[in-house]
Amino acid sequence: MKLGMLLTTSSENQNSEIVFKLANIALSAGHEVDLFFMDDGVYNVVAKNKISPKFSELLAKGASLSLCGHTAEERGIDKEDCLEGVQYAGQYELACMVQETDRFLMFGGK
Amino acid sequence: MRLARFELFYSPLCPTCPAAKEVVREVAEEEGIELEEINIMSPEGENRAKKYEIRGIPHLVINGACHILGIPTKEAIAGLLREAQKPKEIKPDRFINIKGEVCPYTYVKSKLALEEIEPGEVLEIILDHKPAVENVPRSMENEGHKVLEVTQINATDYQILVKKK
Repeated sequence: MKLGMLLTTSSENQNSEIVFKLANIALSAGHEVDLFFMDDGVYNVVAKNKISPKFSELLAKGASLSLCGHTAEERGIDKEDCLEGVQYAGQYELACMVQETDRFLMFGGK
Repeated sequence: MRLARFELFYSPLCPTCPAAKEVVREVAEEEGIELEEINIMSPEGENRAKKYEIRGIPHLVINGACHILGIPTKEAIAGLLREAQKPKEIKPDRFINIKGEVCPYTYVKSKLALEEIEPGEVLEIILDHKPAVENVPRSMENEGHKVLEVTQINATDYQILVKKK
């Protein structure tokens, strides 16, 4: 199965931990995982961020990670600031992800 | 004008390479062209030489397209430079200026414009939203269209040429 998740809150929110754990379990069970970071969610994959090693771990396990380049740019986050392997993408890729994944979960709100 | 770029492949063991370097450095300085000297003995240099299928050194690549093997003359470089900077014979069938638009409108407007032309025709897109410079061509290719060129035309604007599938 292909699992997609959208994260739109920053790393201090509990959502980050939930997304990490869900993704980790799905990968361990042999499923494919696609994550998309948008709005404040882009902070999760900034390399300097405390939580970013967890997302590096998901990348190493084969998850695909993309972020919304526009919302990152608005927050002063360049491609170079992000974890290596994270795609600096856009809404088109998010739309494709929703279309292609078997289950799509959204983590947002405050 | 297209920005020019020189890539000079050399080896520290090659006796003719220093002479080639001298000529290329001189032209690069005179014309204000970015020059990169690549040691083919390094792992990165070896990979890049493979990409261009370089079989001998010194070897100069201009704008990733024109090649000179051996010690180049200034005249030969000037000739190829003119060739490399000549605008290509691509005549767009439709033109859109979406400067000021941000993602996802950059993609949406490009896609709508593409719907108005026939398969095989070319759309010229001018935009200035930096993330879109990568995103629009990537999504176009994903849809099966052919991205012919992505060129930075001045400090802020980019031109993208897409051939409809």
